[in-house]
Amino acid sequence: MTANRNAILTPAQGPEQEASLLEILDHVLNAGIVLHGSLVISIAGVDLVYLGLNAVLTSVETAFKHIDQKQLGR
Amino acid sequence: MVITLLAYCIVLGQGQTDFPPDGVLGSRLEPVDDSGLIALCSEMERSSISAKNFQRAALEFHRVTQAVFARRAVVPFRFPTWLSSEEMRAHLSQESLRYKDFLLNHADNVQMEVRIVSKETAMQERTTGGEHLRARAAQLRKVDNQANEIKNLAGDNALEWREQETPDGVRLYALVSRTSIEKFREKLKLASVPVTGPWPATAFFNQLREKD
Repeated sequence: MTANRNAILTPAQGPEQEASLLEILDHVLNAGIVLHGSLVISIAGVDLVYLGLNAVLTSVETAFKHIDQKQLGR
Repeated sequence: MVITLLAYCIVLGQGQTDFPPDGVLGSRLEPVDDSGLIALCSEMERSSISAKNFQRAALEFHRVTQAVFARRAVVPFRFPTWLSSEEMRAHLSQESLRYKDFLLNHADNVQMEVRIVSKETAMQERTTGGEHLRARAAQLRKVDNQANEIKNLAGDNALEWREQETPDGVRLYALVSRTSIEKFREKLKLASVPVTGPWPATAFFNQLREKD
């Protein structure tokens, strides 16, 4: 393995940062063993829609921001 | 307070054991070994990963798995997978043959990915079902032709291919020897398509299931 191969999987700096980040999150969330208790349900094969992933993460973060703002406002 | 194990990946129990010391969010990385396999885990409270730190934790999880994968084949867990140590040992014992087979067969292989996206925007302008189907068929042919061009460009640098349709094109998974990664990238530069990797060869894991 070369150092170069690790660099590919590290979120890039600059304009490509978001794409690389989403690639990594897609893999981390979608490629691998899924366990429910000790039962293997599936591995890989599920393609997360990038926009969907982004939307979910954004919406959760946005939700927390709103909660924080409401709590701060009290 | 419920303490469980956050599972990262599984490796063969033999060979080097110089794993990274730290896991996500400052946790310690702990090997759980059973049946000739080692599962790398961190003892953590489930509640320590929340929406606020989810992205950071996911990236740290990736860095741990990647550091191990840089030296050997891994079977990664999806993030976040929580298990007790008893459940983990039972899982390793139950799946040991399958995992060992995969880890031994793919010790020197990685997965490279190519995303082909069709830029057929005229699809939205079709007004009838027939026009839409014809446009869709043309789009699929175009994607298929591009996929074949890419496979030809890669030549014998790819040991095997898998495909997965996406709403806007196709994802190609190439099984590539660790020694051919740079050659694979070099060949595909001519195609001007995004190539990512190397990743653990998870798209090729289900071959083991077909053997059952």
